[in-house]
This record gives sequence, C-alpha cells and structure tokens, in this order.
Amino acid sequence: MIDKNNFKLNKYYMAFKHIVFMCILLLSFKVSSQTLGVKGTVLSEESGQPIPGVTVIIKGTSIGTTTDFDGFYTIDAAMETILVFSYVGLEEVELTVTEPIHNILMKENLTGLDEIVVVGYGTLKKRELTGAISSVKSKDLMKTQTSDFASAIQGRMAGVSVRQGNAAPGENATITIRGITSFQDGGSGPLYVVDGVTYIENPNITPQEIESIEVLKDGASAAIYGSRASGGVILITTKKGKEGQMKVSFDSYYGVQNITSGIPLANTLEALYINDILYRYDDINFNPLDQNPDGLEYNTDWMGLLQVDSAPIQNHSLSVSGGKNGLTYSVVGTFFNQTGSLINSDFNKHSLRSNTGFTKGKFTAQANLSVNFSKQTREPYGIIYDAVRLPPYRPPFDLNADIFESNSEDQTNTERISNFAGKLKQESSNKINNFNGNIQLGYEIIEGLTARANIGRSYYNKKDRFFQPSFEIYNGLGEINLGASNLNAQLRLGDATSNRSIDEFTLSYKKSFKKHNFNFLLGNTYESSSYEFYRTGANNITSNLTPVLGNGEPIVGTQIINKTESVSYLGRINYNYNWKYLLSLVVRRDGSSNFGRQKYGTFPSVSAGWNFSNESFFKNLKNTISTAKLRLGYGTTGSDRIPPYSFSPVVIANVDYIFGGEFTNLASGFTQPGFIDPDLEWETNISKNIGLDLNFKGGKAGLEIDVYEQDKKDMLYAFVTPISVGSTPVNGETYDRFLTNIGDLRNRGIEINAFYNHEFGPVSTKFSANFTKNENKVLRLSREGEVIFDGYPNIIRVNQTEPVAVLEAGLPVGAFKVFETAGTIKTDEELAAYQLLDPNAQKGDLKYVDTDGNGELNNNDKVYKGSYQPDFEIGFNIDANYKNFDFSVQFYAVSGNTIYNGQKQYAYSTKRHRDLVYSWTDENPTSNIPTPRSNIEHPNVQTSTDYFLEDGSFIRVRNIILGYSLSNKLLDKIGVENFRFYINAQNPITWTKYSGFDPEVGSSNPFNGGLDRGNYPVTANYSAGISITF
Amino acid sequence: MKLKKSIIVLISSMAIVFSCNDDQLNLENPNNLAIENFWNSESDLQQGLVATYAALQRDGLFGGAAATQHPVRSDTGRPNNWNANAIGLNKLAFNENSDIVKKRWRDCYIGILRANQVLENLDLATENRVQIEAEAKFLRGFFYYSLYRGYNNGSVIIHTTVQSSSEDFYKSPSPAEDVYNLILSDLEFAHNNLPEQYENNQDIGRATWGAAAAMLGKLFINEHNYNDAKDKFQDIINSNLYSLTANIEDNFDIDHEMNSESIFEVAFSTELSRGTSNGATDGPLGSEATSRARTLATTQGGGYRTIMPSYYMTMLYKNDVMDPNNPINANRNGNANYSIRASMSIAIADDDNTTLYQRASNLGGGYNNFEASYVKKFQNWTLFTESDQSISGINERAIRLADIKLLYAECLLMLNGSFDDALGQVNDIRQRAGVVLLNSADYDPESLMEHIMWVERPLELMFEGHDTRWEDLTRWDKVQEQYDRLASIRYVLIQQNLYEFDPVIHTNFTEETALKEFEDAANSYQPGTHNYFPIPSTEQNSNPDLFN
Repeated sequence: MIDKNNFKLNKYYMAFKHIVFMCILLLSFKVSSQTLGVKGTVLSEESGQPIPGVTVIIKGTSIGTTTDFDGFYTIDAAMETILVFSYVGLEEVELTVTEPIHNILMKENLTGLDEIVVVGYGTLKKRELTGAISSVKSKDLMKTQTSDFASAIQGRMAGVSVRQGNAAPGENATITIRGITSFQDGGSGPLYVVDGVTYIENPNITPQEIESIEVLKDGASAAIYGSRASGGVILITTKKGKEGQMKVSFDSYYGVQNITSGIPLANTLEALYINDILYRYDDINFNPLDQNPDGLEYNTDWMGLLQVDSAPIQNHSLSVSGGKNGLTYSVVGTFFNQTGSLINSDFNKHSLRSNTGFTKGKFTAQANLSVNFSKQTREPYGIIYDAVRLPPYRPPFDLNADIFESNSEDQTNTERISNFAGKLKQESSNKINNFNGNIQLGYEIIEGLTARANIGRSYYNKKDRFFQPSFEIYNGLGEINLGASNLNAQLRLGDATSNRSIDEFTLSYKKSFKKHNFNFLLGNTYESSSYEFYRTGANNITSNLTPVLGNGEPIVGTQIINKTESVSYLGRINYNYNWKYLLSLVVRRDGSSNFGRQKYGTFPSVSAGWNFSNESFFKNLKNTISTAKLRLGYGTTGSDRIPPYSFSPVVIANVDYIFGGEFTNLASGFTQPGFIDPDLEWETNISKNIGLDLNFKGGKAGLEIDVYEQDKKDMLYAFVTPISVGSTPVNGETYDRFLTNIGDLRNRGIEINAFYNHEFGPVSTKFSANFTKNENKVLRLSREGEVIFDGYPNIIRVNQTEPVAVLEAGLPVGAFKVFETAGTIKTDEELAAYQLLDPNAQKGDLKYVDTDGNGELNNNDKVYKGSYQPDFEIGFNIDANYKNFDFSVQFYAVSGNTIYNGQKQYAYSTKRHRDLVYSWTDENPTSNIPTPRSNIEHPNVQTSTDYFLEDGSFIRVRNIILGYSLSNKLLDKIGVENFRFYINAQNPITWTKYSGFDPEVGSSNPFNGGLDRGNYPVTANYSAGISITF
Repeated sequence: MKLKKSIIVLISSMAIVFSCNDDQLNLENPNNLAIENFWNSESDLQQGLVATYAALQRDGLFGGAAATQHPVRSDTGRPNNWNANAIGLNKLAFNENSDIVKKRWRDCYIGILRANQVLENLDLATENRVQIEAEAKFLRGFFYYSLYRGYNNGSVIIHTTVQSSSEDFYKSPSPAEDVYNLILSDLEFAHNNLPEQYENNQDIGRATWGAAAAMLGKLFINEHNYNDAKDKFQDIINSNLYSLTANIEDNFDIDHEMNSESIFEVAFSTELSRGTSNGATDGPLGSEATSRARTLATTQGGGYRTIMPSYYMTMLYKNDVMDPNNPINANRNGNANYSIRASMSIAIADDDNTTLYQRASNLGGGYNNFEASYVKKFQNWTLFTESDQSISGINERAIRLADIKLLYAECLLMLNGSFDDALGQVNDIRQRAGVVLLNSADYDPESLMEHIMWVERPLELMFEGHDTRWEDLTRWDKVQEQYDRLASIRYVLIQQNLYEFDPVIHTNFTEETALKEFEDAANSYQPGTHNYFPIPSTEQNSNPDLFN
C-alpha cells in the first residue's frame, strides 16, 4: 500500500515537473503571436466515448471554450501555447499546441473516486469498501471555530448527529451515530480511535491537528472493534508529514461571540402585576414593594448582568511539516482561548502534537506524541436559574464587590440576593494535563506479510477546584445579615488521574493472484485502564486571599479507584474478485473485566460489495454513471460500558450513629446500600446495512444512500429501584439503581449523502447535502408494560419536579410521557366537575386530562407527547470559488423534534415568565395560561405536563465564510506559498419556533436529550482569520 | 538475521499477551467491601444495626426536613412567605410530588431495608441474638409506624425480607390491617425482649422496653384502642424508670440529652464526624448532625427561619399563665413576662427574661415581614449564631415522658377512668412548666380533654416528635374544627408583638387588614384527601406494579 502511494506520488511529481518545465518553456520563449485554429475531439479513455462539456482554456489566459455534445472543440491558439482540458472528475490534461488537430483522451481522476479510506486496523480504497463509512477532511473541519472537533462535524455527515447541549467554553458536543443506541448516560457515544489508539470518551484532539475523520457507522465496519463499538467508531487521523520541502503554516483567527436569544421575563410593572394576580387568589397579603420601597425605580435585567457582550474567541496555530530520506515529521502547536458569553467562564488550551514517521526498506515506524494543557473556568452552577428567579424591582449590584449592601432595611431582601451574590463570587475551574503517545512499528516479513505492533499510552489528569469565598451582606441600616452572609470560606479540590495503555499486535497478509485479491488480518489487543480520584477540601478558610488547604479546617477526603482490563482477538478477511465482487469477514472476541460470570463476547460480521459498474452490461451507462456499487453488511458489536465492579454487591461503611450517655461515641455502621445483578451480560447490537454508491460523470456528482436497521439486544440500563425497596444513594453513588440487561431497542433509518459540482461561468461551485432519518424504538423491556421514568427538566430543585421522559416498549428512547392538559378551568361548572379529580383545584388552574377515565389522576394517565429525536436532519453546504475568492455557507436543519422548555417551567414556577401577565383571572376569563400560585409544586407549574413542551425544529446557518487568497504573482513577490484572509460568521441566523434560549439542546444522557435545563446557550460568533503557508 | 530477530520479538510479545488473559480480567473492587466479606460475625450484625439506627437521622425521619416541615400542616407551624414547600404543605396543597411526601417515604424504607438485612442475618449472632433482633424489630416497627400513620390510609408496601432478585422489587400496597399487624408483632417482640435500661454507658440511646411500650401505646391509641394504650402508658409511668426533668429546657438543649424524662431519642452530634455540611448524611463525607437548627434560626442567629410558630401557637404561649408561687419562677430573674415553658420553646420580642442568640429577645430576631415569634426548642440559641455549616448536634427527643403522661390522661378520660389521675398527670406537667395548676373544680372530663387538645399538648410538645401533632388532630378527628377556629381568629402585630385582634382596642386595624392564617387549609380540608399523604410520585414512577 505504501509502495502504491509512493508510486502515485511519484507520478504526480513527474506531472508537476512536466508542467513546470512547460511553464518555463512558455515564459522563456515568448512565443510568436501567430494563432491558428486548433480543433479535436475529447474522448474518455475508459469508455472511448466523447465527453461533452470539457473546458478548454489557453493556459494563463481566460480565453477558452467547451466541447460540444460530440466532444468536439475548436479554439484559436498560437503554436506552443498550452491548452488545458479540464472536467470535474477527470484528470486535467495539458497539451502544447504543435499541430491543428489534437484529439485528447481524458481519464478518470482516481484521487476523487478512489481515495484512501481509513478503516479499523488499516486502510482501504474507497471502491473496496463494503461498509457504511463517512469522512470529513481537515479543510471542512476548519470552518467551525471551536476547540472541539465534535462540534466541527455537525451537519457534515449523514447519520452522524451532533448536539451542542452545553455550549460553555471547553465543553464537548455530543455525537450520536445512527440514533440513540444506549439507555445509559454516555452509552450512545462512539468509540474514538486516534491513530490506532482507542478512547471511550472524546479524546479532546485539537481540530488543527486532524487530517481526517472517518466514521464507521454500521456494524460490519465497526465489528473489528467488537465490544467497544456499539455506538459506532470515529477514526481520527492526525496530520503527518510528507517527503518534500519543509512547509510552515500559520493559522490564526479572532472573533467575538454573543448570546442572541433568551426567555421572556416580566419587567418591573409586569412582575408587580403578576404578584397582584398571585395574591388576589391567595390568603397571603404580601406586597413586594413593602420590602422594596424604591422598587419602581428599577427594572433590573439580571440575565443581562450575567452576559458578556462580544466575548472574544481566538485561535493561533503553527505547523511545520516535511520529510526527507524516509523520515517525515509534522509538528502542530495550537493555542486556543475563549471567553465565555456567561460571566466567569472561559477556556484556554495549549496543545502540541508531533508525529514522526520513518520508512526504510521493509521497516516502518511512526511515533505520535501529543501534549495538551487546558484550563476551564466554569460559570456558577445553575446561575441562569438565579437570573430567572430574581425580580426586576430589586436594584442591581456590583457583581465584583466584596460586601453587598441592600438598600432596604428588610432582612428578606438581603437574603434573597445572598445565594446569587455568593455564586458570583465562586471560583470553579479545572485544569487538564493530557499526554498521549503511541508508536507503531511495521515490518514486512515476506512479500505481502506484514507484522505490526501498536503500543500506546495515555495519561490524563484533571484537577478540579471550587472555592466559595466568604462574603458579607448588610441591610440598609448597615447591619450584617448573618443568614444571608457566608462567613465560611470553603475550598474543595478534586484530582482525577487516568492511565490507559493499549498493546496491539497484528499480522496482515496481502496476496493477489489472477483476479483474486486477498487481505488477511489477524491480531490481538490488550487494553488496560486505571482511574483514581481524590476529593478533599477545607472549611473556614481564614482569608479569601489565601485559599489553600492549610489555611482552614480540613474535611475528610474521599478516594475512588477503578480499573478495567480487556483482552481481544481479532481477525478479518477481505477478498475481492477483480475489484468487482467484494467480501469482508470479521470476527472479534473480547474479554472484559467489567463482567462477572460472562466475561467474553464474540462479535462476527460479514459484508459484501458489488461494483456493478464494472460489469459489461453497465457499459452503456458508464458515461453518465461512472461508478456504481452496492453494499450489503451484517455485523455485530457490543457494549461493555458499565462502571467497573458492577457485578459485585458491596456493603458500605460510614453509615454511623451515636450512642452513649454523657460521653457519646460514634458507632460504626455498615449496610448493603443497593442491589446488583450477578448475571449481567454484554449488550449486543446486530446491524444490517444496504448501501448504494453512485458517481456521475466522472465525479461531477455523487450520491450515496444507506438504509440500515440496528437491533440492540439486552440493553444495559440501571433503573431506579422502587423507593419501597429502600436502596440508599450515598455520596453521588447510584446505589438506588439496579444495573441489568433490560430490553431491546431498534434503530432503523436512511441516510443520503449527495454532492454536485457546477461551474457558473468563472464561478465553480460545489453543493453537498446530507439527509438523515432515523427511527428509534424500544422494542421490549424485561417486565411487560413497564414504564421507566427519568429525565428531570431542571438542574436545581429537582426534588420538587417530576421526571418527564420514559423508556417504554413501542416508544423512542426518552420519549416525553406527561399529563395532557386541556387549558384552564374557566367556569364554576368546570371547576365543580374538575374538583372530583382534584379537590384542591381552583379556577385558573390547568386541567389535567384523566385519559383512562377512572376518576383519578396518576401515572396511568400520562401519555406520549413526542420525542426529542427528530424526524430528520439535514446538512447542506455550498462552496464557491471565484478567482481568488472562496465562499462557503453551511446550513443545518433539524425537524420534528420536541423540546421540554425547562427554563420556561422554572420561570412559571417562580412567577417570572412574562406569559403570566396574560394568565387566567376573572378579568381575563378566556386565557389558557394558568394563574400563578405560590406553591411551587402546584399542578399549574408541575413539570410532568405537556404545557411546557414545544416544537424544537430549527434551521440554522452554521457558517458563512468568505475568504480571499492573494494571487500567485503577489505571493511569489513576498515569497509565500499561500496567503488567505477570511471572515467567518458562525450561527448567525437560526429560524425556529422554539421560545427558549436555543433549540439545540442535547445530552449524553438519553433521557435528557430533549430537556432545556438552562444549559449554556449557543452563541453567534463573528471572526476574521488569516492563514499563511511558507 | 535482523529479520529473524524481529519476527521472534513480535511473536514472543504476542505470546506474552495471549498468555495473560483470564486472571487479568478478575478484578476486585478496592473501594468497598464485597458482600461476601461481610455478614460473617456478630460484630457485622451490630454494625448493620447501627446503620439501621442511622436511618433515623435522615431528612424524612428526624433530620432537618421532616422536623421543620411537618408542623406547618398542623396548627403549630407557620411558613415563611418565601418557602414554597412549606407554604404548599400549610395550604394542604401538598401532593404526591411534594418534597416532604417523597422524603419521608424514602427514608422509612431505607430504614426498613437496613433492619431487614439485620433480621435476615440473625444466625450470625452468638450471644446477643434476641437483643439484636429486638432492636431491629423495634426500628422496623418504628419505620412502618411512620408509614402507616403517614400514608395512603395506612395501606403501604410491605417488605420483610431483603430482596434476593429484581423480581422481588415490585409490590403493591398491603391492606392497612396487614401493616398494623406487622407493626404490632415487631413492637411486641421488642417490648418483650428489650431491656429496661442499658448498664453500659456506651449503649445508652439504643431502643428500650420503655420505647417499645410507648410506641405500642401510640399504635393503640391512634386506633382508639384506649384500653391497651392505657396499659402501656401506665406501665411506663409506673415503672419508675422515668421522671420529668426539673427544668423543661433540659428536654430541648444539648447539655441534657438522654435525661430522666427521655424515652427514645434520635442522636445528633457536630463533634463526631462533622461531614461537609447540611445535616446528617451517610458516606465518608457524611455528618451526624441535623440541619434543623439553621433552618429555623432567625437571621440574626445565622439562619433562615423557614418555619416559625403559628400565630395561634404564639398566642398560646403568651397566654401560658405563670404561677407566681412556683419556685421555678421564683428563681427566674424577677421580671419574667412569660412562662419558662414559653421562653424555652419560642422567642417572643418582649420576653425580657431571656435572650436569643446572645442578644435581647427583640434583637435576636427580625420580627419583620409579619413575623411574630421564632422556634427556640432544639435550637442553639444560647450561642451567638448557628453553625454556618448548617449543622446542629442537639438530639431530637422522639418520645419523652410528658407526652406519655398526656396520652395516659387522654386514655383515662376516654375510658371514664380516674379524672383525678388524669388531672394529676396534666398538673405534673404544668407544675414543671411553672404555670398555674388546673383546679379540679373548674374541669370535667370533657373540658379537661379539650384543655389537653387545645392547650396542654401543643404547649408542651410543639415541634417535637415525628409529626406528632398531626397524629393527635387526626386521631381526635378535629382537623376541620381546629382549622376553622384558626382561620376565624384575627391577629395584629404591634411593635413586634402579636395580639389577638380586638376591633375595640386595635382601631388602626380592620378585619381585612388584620393578620390571619390557615384560611386555605380550612377551605380545602377533606379528611379523605388530606389526613394522609399520597404515595409519592417517586414510588409511582419506579414501581409499575404499584396499582396492580
């Protein structure tokens, strides 16, 4: 394979030399101006047929023509000028005019149609592929300005769904391949393989370091990764050097970000009016102005106070690459810095990657090293909730002050800002140090037989720090409010270290005889990971200026150690007959320490392809359809993604009590806090895929269609045990959940990728689109008729809310199942009737529908009200080039998904939503907006209703980029190979009916995928950048 | 040569990896003890029992939430106007989704699982089997009692064994009689086998015969089985194991825990295992303290006064007339306006004889925002402020003799027993409280019972026990009557002091502008809906067999 590449490279090199030679000739001879009519026919080298529409241009000018329907052209050109024949998908031909008739043969440009695709443990030519694989190249990744490559692939590949659920600087987007494939938090995430090293979680590779990303979507492609791959596989290839002159490039951009939306909150007058409604139907007499005598003078926009306008974002990267005498190198250094659009949040990251390759004879070696350091500062937890909750008639205050003073004598006023003020002072950050390295060695033992070893190690350390300084709050009389103040400065530190290793050995054998081509792979891999976490801290730190452990009263620490080991054996046979009939057989056997009794699982797959355009019957179509392939795949993968030791029941210590009279003693207590399933087994995934790849007119247009079905069996899920069982969640450990193989799930869908190239005069354009439709359905749960509720729409006051999403056979994962509401109770008659269901009801309350008509409202009345999983997703890109300008625009659309607007629910329950001005009152008797009630658990604001569900469809302009590259003339003068400026607008426009912050909500937890829980909103970014290559 | 070497290296390294498989995959959990290494000895059983006691400290049993929230449903508590949970409970607008409804249910069942673990491994006991079984059954009976009195007309889910597979997780509620019988048999076993006292100081605080007798008495009296109840209460009183403390505050403070009056306490401490903050929790960062004190403390005391005494309760204390001849009062600093019982239970602005958070009474609390009084019982009000970690170490006196004496008096009155004995019990308590004794000439059995219901029990036991007042009101079936009474009273606050509104005196106020409380509750109360909490939504959501 390497030889072939080299061969190809050499060929280009020769062509290049040839062209240069011609140019020199052209320049030096200054040929005579005598012209003559040159004509001829352009034929396809493969089919011998004439090619219409070929552009013929006299090199260095804009004089040109195109071939007619019979492939015939005629042009006036001087002797010794060069004619350039070009056509999308065909190799460009340059020809020096020496006679009046030149017939041309053009051949398919195989670089486009037969690009090399990275698959697990090797590469294949695209026409050899039998599975469903999509890829994105560096150029497209660079269009999105982010530190997270995941958000850069959004909308770029069919079947690969990316959601930026939390857009805080430094947070990663969630990638889901072919639908939700797991019931567990994080379980649907793909496996990441970076240059052969696997990662369960996003490996945080800096986008600038990436050459290409390949996504193995179907089971047949992913089966080589067996138990790790049930969520698909993302293969990341980082940039490598190429032999030749040293290349230095510098890329840099700077931009600003703004939050462009929000939820409508009441202003002062509206808030007072809402209060008036609230207390009109309540026996509490309370006028907020009593506590805020000058309240009418204020209209504080708390949300505005939290937002940072025009928060900067910047990235600078420098790369050096090249190679000589078998040694290649590529070094990329990147600095990224993003200030958050919410207060006290930012992220910066320094990363360095060095990839070195060496080839000598039959020996190859590749050493990849990457180092990155990042620091993320997080906005105060749930701060958006505070901004919603605080009323506008309270005066704003200096967010940076050390002492807060209320203008009022009243104590409650100072208390109410206490939480908010305290949060603003919090320091919450984490630092990550990450080192990854791997060495790949290869040796061709005999011709075709290569042994390879891949040894990788990675080290990851994350240090969390949380500091709550002390602060004092005074009332208007200058008296300290001790309840509102915080005199206890608290420091919490966390330290998580993970060490991972991978040792892989493979033997591959490649053999062709006659028209039979074989490729065998045999190998084994051994992976090990250990994770260790400490938490400690101190209370009553003596001074806010000395926030270190020793300056306070230490608290007891905690420690967690987790280890996992896995051993795998893998084998693959790729066979093709004359590149026409393709067959691939894969089997992987995995052993995992995460399981007790069933440690091993075997994952076979088979796939086949048929390049039917190579058949003789296809000859006549060959002009229109250059290549056509049918792919069929059947593959199995699995999942061992469960916490380690899950099969072993434990007792926990520290469940202590105090005995003793005068002198008390702490008696040590132990208990079994929960239950485990000793028979846990692998979750398996059977995937079927049919694909059709078509290429038109030698690459002018292309179409790929995949239809798939994935059946997941024995899905792992930890459900909440009935409360009456008495399991105790302790210290964030979910002992109240029972991990078991709970049911079956099916995803089926269709994916379409298409592109089309077109020249509009001098403007060359490429349109590409992808379409994804996935239908997700829980087929079975272990207990018939079972409904598992989870998914809480708020991150605070969770105890006062009900979950709104379910697992239920027949519904998509995380479907919304809530009470249906039928407007408000408007008349006394309606009230009397409704009070039979709820004796506490009043006029103006929401009417819940007793759907089973049994005269009671309980869970059985909850009904399916949509899912966050969309009907379809579309990505659409336009790239255009005109002279030195380049332009691209990317659209991303999601349709048919439902969002639970948790922020709206919260704003309703805190009586802050502007809607409430128009709520039901005796004066507004037709309103369907429920009357505000003081009880935050009141049915009017209860989370489990359809009242807060909204259509989440949206169309977003993801990027608009306009670039300009300096002309070659100018470049030559300044001695630069390439110099480009560009401006980029990211997320400038979103069309949606959704009333919350942003319709792009998402989560790695399948129950939370459609919950708008006050997440960090997506911003619009405007930036400018340059890229220079020397 | 070189080629051969490489092959050898590669193959041998592969061989190494191939050979190291199965053992590598067997990993032990280093973080927690595997269950097969526990339940091996009597000391393990003891530790399991400790964990069962520890459940009592939880938020829904005697921890902060339950202790502070329950009173607002009865007539003793009043929510701050910003505490939505308590407001909802106060208006009887609680539902299956209410915080306290969920927490109490959860924590009772956590206790039950822990008790069942002990009971299932009793074979490990070498010498103390009966003792361990009796303690575990007392606790299990206690938890089921709370469920039985609290939820779904007493019909709740019964688990008496540790679930051995997930099939055993799902149960629907058992009939109330079955629950009753389970409680009865558990408590009777405890009653028959628990010691009267513990010799060893470090066992003090464990369940005793007296605690079991008291619980049995409570179980019976709530069924209006006054005969059996009377026997149990009488046993306790006649046992001479208990006596009223000389000073009433000894029952509310940290310095006199496990005193002569105490029958059962839930222990808290800030000294042993401080934890990070916020009340008793399990685990390595857990604490043995309660968040109650900070929740109820005044702003000046560094707290939130989430719940305060109701206006009704405040007026009761203001009208708790001192007996000038009682030596208790003679020993007070001369100018006491209010009884020692009032001064030690709640804070009133003009209570000059005492302090609040080391300040004068009127300065220790805000008395703004229509606030008339604050809770002092079980508060650390002798300190300058409560702990800013939200922890307090004062034990909750779950059952004390004064409660038993009043219940005994109630039995006597209901059974037409000795009126004098009943009056004597009440007067014992009044004597200790330093208030005027009741004169037998002024009372008949009916009016003495009224007095117990509307005066003595609330004054003595306000904010104590686990939802005690609501048990009382529902046992008497007097909820509506009391709510109507409460809703009809109007109050005025004049210079931080609460008075019952009198249109003749308080001419600055009208019926409209005067303060009131419990109006919503009076309007919406329905015994069938409100006497018991519904089965919480968390159970509904996690137990699909609940209604099957």
